Amino acid sequence: MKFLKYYFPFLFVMIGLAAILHFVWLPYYVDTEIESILTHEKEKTRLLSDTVIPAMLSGDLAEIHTTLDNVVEKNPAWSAVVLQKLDGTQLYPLSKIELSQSDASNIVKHSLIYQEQELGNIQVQTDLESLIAPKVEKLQHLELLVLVSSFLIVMVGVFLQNRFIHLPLKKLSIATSRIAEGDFLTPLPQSSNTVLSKFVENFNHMRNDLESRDVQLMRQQTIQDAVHNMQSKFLTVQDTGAVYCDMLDTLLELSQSEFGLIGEVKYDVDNQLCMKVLVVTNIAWDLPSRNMFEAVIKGDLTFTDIDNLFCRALITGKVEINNNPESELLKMDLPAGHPEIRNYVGIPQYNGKQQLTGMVALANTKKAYSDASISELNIIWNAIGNLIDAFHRKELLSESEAHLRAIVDNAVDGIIVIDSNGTVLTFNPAAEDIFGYNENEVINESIKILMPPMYAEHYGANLSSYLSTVKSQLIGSSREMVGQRKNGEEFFMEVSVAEVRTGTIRHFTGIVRDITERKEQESQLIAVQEILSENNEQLLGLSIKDGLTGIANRRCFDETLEAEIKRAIRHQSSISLILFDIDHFKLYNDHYGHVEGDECLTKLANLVSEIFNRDGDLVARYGGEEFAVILPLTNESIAIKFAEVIREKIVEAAIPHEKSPTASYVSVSLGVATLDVGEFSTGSELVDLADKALYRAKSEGRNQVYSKEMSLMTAKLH
Amino acid sequence: MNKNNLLTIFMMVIMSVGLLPTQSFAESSYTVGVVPQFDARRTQQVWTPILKRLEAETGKTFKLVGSPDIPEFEKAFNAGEYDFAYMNPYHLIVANKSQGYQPIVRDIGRKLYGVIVVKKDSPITDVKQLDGKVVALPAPNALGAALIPRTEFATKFMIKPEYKYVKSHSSVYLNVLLGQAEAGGGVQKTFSQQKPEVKDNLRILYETTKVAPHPVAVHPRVSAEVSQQVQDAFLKMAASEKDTKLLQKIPMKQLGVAELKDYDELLEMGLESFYVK
Repeated sequence: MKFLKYYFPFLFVMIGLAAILHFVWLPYYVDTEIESILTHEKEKTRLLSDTVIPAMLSGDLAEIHTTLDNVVEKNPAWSAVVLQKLDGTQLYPLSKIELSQSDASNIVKHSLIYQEQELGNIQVQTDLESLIAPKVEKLQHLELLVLVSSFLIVMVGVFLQNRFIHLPLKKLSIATSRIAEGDFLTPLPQSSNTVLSKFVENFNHMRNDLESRDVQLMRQQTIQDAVHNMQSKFLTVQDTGAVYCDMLDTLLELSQSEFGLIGEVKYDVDNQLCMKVLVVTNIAWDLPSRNMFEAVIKGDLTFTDIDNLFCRALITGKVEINNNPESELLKMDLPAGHPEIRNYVGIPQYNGKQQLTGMVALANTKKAYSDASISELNIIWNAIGNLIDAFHRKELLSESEAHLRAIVDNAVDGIIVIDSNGTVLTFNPAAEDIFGYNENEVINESIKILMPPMYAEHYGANLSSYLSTVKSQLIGSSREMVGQRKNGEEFFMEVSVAEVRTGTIRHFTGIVRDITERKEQESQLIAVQEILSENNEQLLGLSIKDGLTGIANRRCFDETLEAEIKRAIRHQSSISLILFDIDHFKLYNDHYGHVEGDECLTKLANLVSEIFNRDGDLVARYGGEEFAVILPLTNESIAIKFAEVIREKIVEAAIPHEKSPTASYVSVSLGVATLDVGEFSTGSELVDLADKALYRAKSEGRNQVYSKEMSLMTAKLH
Repeated sequence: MNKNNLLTIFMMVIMSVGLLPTQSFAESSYTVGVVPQFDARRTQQVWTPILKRLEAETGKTFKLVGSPDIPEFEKAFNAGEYDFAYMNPYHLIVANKSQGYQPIVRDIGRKLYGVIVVKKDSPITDVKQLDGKVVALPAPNALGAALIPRTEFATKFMIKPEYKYVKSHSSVYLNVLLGQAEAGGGVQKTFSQQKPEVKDNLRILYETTKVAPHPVAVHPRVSAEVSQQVQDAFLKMAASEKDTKLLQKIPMKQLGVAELKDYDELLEMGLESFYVK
């Protein structure tokens, strides 16, 4: 009884009403009634008084008693009537009654007055309660009646509402929700209510629409599923024959046809249009027809004569429906035993580029073929057209794939293909031979297993840097690397790596040649060459290196200077020369010894060599304690700066030289000479200039730089 | 015959017809007057069956005649209007004097007398103490309750109470009970009829002289024969168990023969002086 919840608001209203009635109106009514009753009783008492006055006067007490008895009897609400003489003598009733003054509100007193004389008084005590009670009781009954009846009315109302409105609506909503969930057969409840009936009627219309739309959608869905199915099979199933078979079965089911075929467009040697049967329903009825069926499976059945019922669609390029094919069939001269063809449709198949790729033929549908029934399946025709095309191309692709495959398999050199993560994708037989691994052991493994560990890391770095910066020493060229065979043997290999990009796929193809033999030969050669080279170097070294310090010797210096000057003149550039000399070197030698002296020279030579690392700069030992620096492409001011750098560096080296009057540490004096652009000179002339500058530096106090053209730099003495 | 003549004859016929009944009636129909002790209806209720019995017995017709009040009744019997009359003893004396009415039957089972009552706890013990006191009486001429006592107070006890006439016997008793009178006059019958809370709180101070009660009297014009017949009829009724019940309603407990000498006592009292006219 859930509808009871609708009753609650009324309940509250009723309670409120009852409360008001009971606590507000009722007391008010009671008070009003009491007032009117008292007034009434007062009046009655007054009349009574008038009645008894004559008897009072005549002393006819019996009459008074009779009258009052009568009155008392007639007024049950009068709980006491007392008649008193003025002197207080109670004349009625006989038993003395003392009316309690506490109940004064319900005592009506009336004086008996005759000719302005008071004879006495009558007091009437009314039992208001008993007077009011019946009225109040009546009212309470009424109250209750009203409440109960209104309760009942509401209950009935709610019940009726529920029965005639809610319940039907509820039933309706249940039925409609079931329908909404797909249960189209659920009947809708009938109702006497016209509004609801109309609603039900409309709903039924809607439901029927929905149902038919549902059916339509299902059909669409089925068709689409068929297409998806075909397409996915194409992608996953290798056996194209099976795929075509499935396709045909689906078509037969969707079009409710008995048999059919799928054919592909082909051109013969004369470029005439033919149709190659890809798949056909097995309607073989005898050996020849069975042979034909077998031919299809092998892929051998091609119709060249296409101007007939079966292949007309290929010629016209349009859907050819024939629901009365008798005449055409007769023309075709079909072999005996061929199953009856009641109706027939040929549907040309086009690819995405609107090229005719094939044809679908269907026969013997239940009633007849119509444009509508064929165009209903348009998405399938579109799909098939593309699929035939795709299959064809796939075929071609596989052929070329096979060809390429053969090349790789038969190559002499190892061919390894990896992806951008270094995972091996292809490992040809030659590679197998080289590395000793079987193809299966390597494919899907990292290329690193084919290299010694330390190379593997380097290689990894190489590959990732290439991928990120397209710079590589390795890729795009041939390189010698170390490989590791399965047995752990390391060997030399020549690797050429090329990047193969197809779309987003980046593969790397490496051609590997085992050059162990060659390497051996090479190494032998190299060994010999090295020996020769060493000898040469030694020889050269003897001729150009200073025995003590290891820097260039005088001879080298002279030759280099000549060459550099010539070059400077040729190239119109400047060249500078610094000559420097250790201050008081003799004193050093004398104090510290010649061994120390030699060491000092070596130290200084190294220090200065460190300064100059440009190609072309030469630091050479010019003399016993003299050094020279050739600075091509250097002007005077820079040369001076360099000279200062030399001087400071030596000072900073702080090689102790107690006996030096110039400084407590070894210091040098430097002279700078420059051949500016456009000037001409020989080597010895330049040296001369530098020497003069040096002399100047020395004479000016040592530990300083002097240049021909500038003023002396202030020596810093330690 | 002309119109005048017809009319005269018609008138004569009517008159003779009118006259006839009187004559015949005068012979066998008798009026019966009853003292209006009770209201007219009750009087009729009581006396009609009795008169029917009499008619049956005597073969004579009796017509009940009512009076509005006692003075009218007195006037009527004093004028001799009734052939028979039921009246109180005092009325008989008067009627006898004025018209010569003779009693024929009366209640022989009881006597008529008045009682003087006082409050039970009243200090009064003797009638003489009532001199100057307020005495409640129903009406001055009520025979037993008022007339006889008043006569006796004056003649026998020589006292002069203050009389308060309170209309009814019940009133008398109430007045005494409620202290509105020192004493009150009534009769035994009415006293006995009072409620316990009244009569238990009163006591009878004094009973008056007892006299013969109400008779049925006959006018002298009625023949002795008829008179006797009526008397016999009454006696016969009294003897009958059934009819005696009717008589008890008069009230006559025990109907018997009445003679004038039965009322001598009353005569000697000298009530006439105290009768208020």
